[in-house]
Amino acid sequence: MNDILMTYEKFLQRIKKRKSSDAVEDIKTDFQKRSEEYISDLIVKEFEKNVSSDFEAERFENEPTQPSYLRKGAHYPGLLKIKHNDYTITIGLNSTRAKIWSWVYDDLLDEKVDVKITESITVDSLIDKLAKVFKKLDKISTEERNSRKILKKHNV
Amino acid sequence: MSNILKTYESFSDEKMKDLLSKKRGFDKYHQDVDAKSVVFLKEWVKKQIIKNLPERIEIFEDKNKIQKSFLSFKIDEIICFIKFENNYTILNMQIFDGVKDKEWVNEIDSTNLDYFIKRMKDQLSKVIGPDNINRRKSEAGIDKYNL
Repeated sequence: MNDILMTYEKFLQRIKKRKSSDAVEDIKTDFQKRSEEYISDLIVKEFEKNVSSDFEAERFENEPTQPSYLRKGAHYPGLLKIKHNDYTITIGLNSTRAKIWSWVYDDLLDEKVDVKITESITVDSLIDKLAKVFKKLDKISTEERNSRKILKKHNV
Repeated sequence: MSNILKTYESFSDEKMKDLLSKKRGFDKYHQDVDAKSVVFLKEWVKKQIIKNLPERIEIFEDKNKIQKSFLSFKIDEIICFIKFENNYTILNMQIFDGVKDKEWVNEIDSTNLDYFIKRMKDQLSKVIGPDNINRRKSEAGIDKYNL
């Protein structure tokens, strides 16, 4: 056995003895923040490449009002908002960071579009799902949405 | 081939995989988002190590998925292991002295990357360099003139 291997065994023994550090649940550490910034930038790049280049993106720290249709008790740290064709896509990492959630809101009609379809554990599949959603949504013309808006206003 | 590369070959053998799999969480599936974050942060830390420490440093590259959360390097017979802890919110480094029979020297914990790099520089400056290596050899009972 060589030096590194022997030292590695000591390292494993040492970290095994370590008390697990207090979970940093409420504090967004520098470390986590930088990785979220990186994931956020990556999503924006992939969105531009695979969905549309016509959008505005904005990072946010915490979503002040989480949509009511999200599960109670789950926490979604802030990540990203993308505005595209009068739709707002809000993207967040859940508290375990094991999933990325996104929900699409129709700003023109003032209603949510879909929730379930955009839960994902990978950036690639999130983008893939969003691309499919917008392929359908972009076929609906603004005129059609405006008509629906008027009908909705009059409860028709 | 440098010693560190030769060492790396041993590190990636089945025995090491067994060792790693015994540690809770090592064999846990890395989620894509976390895996991407770790790769990004590891690269950041690696760049800072290269930037802030002398050129004679040897970084121990990991290539197995199972070792994704590790970064290790060697300088003047000081061996360091860096591990991302608690859902990647804490960075921990364990320092060992290769001259003194891999004796544990110190550890650094930080939730801030810049502070971690600063502490790493401070701690290592106490043990690396010609004077320090001679002192360590002398403390270990090794005649510095024979080395």
